[in-house]
Amino acid sequence: MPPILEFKSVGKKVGGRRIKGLSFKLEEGNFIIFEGESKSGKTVLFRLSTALELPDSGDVLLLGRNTKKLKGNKRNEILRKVGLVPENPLILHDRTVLQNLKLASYLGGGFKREKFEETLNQIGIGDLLEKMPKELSKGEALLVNLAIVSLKNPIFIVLDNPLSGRDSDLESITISFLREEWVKGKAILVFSTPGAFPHIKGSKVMKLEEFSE
Amino acid sequence: MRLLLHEIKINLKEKISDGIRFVFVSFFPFVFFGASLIVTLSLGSSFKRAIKPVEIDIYLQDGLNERRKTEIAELLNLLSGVQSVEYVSREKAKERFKRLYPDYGQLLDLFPESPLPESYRVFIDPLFASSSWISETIEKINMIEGIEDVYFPIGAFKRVEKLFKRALFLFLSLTIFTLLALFVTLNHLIKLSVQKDYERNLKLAVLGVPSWIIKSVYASFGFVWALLSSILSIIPLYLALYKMSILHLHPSPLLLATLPILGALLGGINGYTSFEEK
Repeated sequence: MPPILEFKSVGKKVGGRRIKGLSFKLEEGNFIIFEGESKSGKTVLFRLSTALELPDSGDVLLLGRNTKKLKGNKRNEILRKVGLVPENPLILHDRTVLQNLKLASYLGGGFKREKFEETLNQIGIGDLLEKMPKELSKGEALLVNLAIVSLKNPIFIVLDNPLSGRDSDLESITISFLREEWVKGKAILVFSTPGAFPHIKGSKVMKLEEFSE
Repeated sequence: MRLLLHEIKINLKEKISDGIRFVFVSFFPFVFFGASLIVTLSLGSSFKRAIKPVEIDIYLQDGLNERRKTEIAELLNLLSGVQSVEYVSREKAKERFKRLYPDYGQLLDLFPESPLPESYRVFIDPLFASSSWISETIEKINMIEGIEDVYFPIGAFKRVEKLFKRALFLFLSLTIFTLLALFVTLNHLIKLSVQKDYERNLKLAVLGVPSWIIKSVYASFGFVWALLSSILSIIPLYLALYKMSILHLHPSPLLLATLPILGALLGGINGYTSFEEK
């Protein structure tokens, strides 16, 4: 079985810097935390990992498929199996939280009431269902994004700076959510500023500075 | 399929305001459409008044026996487009002449027997009343043995017909213009909608919603509004064409019913192709 995500000598220009020769593999059940200072290219890596951007050199293989060859429907199909939590939460603004969650359920293979209620209890957003995304605080929006990821039932979850500027309650909910998903066997990839995301036991920490010049 | 229906439902609900805007925008082409209809219909009714009933006078030769007269009447009845044939005796012709020209009618009394020939008045179905058809029919009638002369004011008829055909051309041009304007409006609205929804569509794609579903949402929007617009435009078109049945335009309701469906399909295709994922 191919790795869930594989970077093969990836090079990419990021502002005045350059990421060079970045290689790593994310296998099923892995938890990798990529640490990098501000403007070191974390968001670019997040986008490279999710086929939203292409490398200047080298290859990125997502679920065994080279992202350079992924376009349109095929790319969307692959992204269906990925749980994305970007810095600005991935929520659709033209519908309520409930409708966002229902869409995620359909993408995850169909709406199942049990799974739906379990997710709401786990993340604690039961009282936000009828709200429109613009009525949510940043923290609440992150929680809704986590619920969307959970209902989508992805193979791996990738997060960009999930805890920067968040309060401790939110931090504990996020960490506990990721732990549970990890225990279920899902691969987790986190891009974070140093010290903003706790080094969970069993996780692997990589420094982005080692690959940039 | 449930995902598609879910997206279409949300999108159409969201786009009600766009739809209302579309109806307002499309109001202006309808004003042109209405104006062209009014002009054409008033010309059409004047034309109908001027020529209806379409009547050809056929004068018989002197000395025909009753059997021959009956044969001629039967032959005239067999011509396509003939609604009825009325025999006019010499006496009736005299009365008619007196009625039409009261100042000169007394002159006929000077003759012991009416000098006017026997004739047939042939009434034509207005549906067949084009100048070319009437000319052909007159030629055919002239070939029948026992006919002295055929009278029909073809020159005047042609002038009115020409005028009416111009009005019809104007009407059809404005109709086509209206439909094009509606289509362009819809197209523009969908493009605006796609632009407005850019971020939403990007998020849908990133969430993993297949492109064809995202496109189908616009296809449904295009389909629904093109259907409504086509139905709106087909009602006056239908009425107008029936009013103008005098020019052989008598479209079947089935044919007209297919037009909104065709319009809706075009709108749907337009909607589907308006979104391109980059």
